[in-house]
Amino acid sequence: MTTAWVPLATTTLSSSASDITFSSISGAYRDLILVATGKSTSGTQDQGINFNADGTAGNYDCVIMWGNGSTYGSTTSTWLIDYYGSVTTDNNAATILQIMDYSATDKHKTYLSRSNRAASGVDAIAGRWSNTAAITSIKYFLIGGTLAAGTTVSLYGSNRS
Amino acid sequence: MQKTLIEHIEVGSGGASSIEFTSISSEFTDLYLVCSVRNDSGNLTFNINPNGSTTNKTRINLQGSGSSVSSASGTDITPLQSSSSYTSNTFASTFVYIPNYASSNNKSISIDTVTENNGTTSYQRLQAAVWSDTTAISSLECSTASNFAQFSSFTLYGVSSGSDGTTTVS
Repeated sequence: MTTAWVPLATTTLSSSASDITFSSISGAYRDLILVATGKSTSGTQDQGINFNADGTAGNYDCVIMWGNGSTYGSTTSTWLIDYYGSVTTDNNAATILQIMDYSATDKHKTYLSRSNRAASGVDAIAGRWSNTAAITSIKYFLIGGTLAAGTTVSLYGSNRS
Repeated sequence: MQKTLIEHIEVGSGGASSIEFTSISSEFTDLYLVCSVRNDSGNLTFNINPNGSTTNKTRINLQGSGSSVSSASGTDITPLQSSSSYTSNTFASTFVYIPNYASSNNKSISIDTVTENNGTTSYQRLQAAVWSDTTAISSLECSTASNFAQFSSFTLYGVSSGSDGTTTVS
């Protein structure tokens, strides 16, 4: 039995890179799902996402719910897809992001992110890109750092079936 | 269509203290486990043991009860299950995602898990876990104190990454 997660593209970095960008994404699906096991070249870094090469922070907003093993809270930000579930120089973080109705042209684009790092925390994030354009490219990056070799990111299309 | 059913296990009459998926092929990229679980006693969590291991596991929870929030850490991997005191016929629901399960890295694990108790105190838990072992996962055990109740179910999928020939990555 198979269900509707269609693999679109995947990469594992063989050397460090500033970002990973998926381009020419077909509009054939309902949602996009991005699975990342990120790794930084130095220190703890938060992960971010941009759509269609829009690098204006003011066009993104998100609400974050987090727990770090002793305390918890909620805050807001721009294009973050983690808060305490950030990445560092190992492969111990996992982030799963679902972007709803990514190819619609009559609504802002929203996403749900679940980011995890057992040594630092767990997050659930609801985000919005205030643009009605269909998403045809996604840039995954670290807010203040560089992606290390070994970072793996996969993109899937889903038809909610 | 690359999300493939590996195996579905349903607990039979009399219950079971554990279930196990064995001989998991390394042909997939990620594993995705869906659980519907009730305990026949008062236990509210069960354990996930990759390759049967009960060691080298850590996790952080963010949990709500319907009236309060908490965050805690531990050295186990613990989705929720409905206890026997919960409303009859209610089972806890859990999604477990394990990226790169066959890699030679430690295995990070994402868990979303909730109980249902007909409007009284019940729990929702997000859990970040890691199994600090570089061995490929080839079996996955779910175990509990006392027994999983009859009709508890566990369904394991393999997720395969790849290319559609259109999307480019750089």
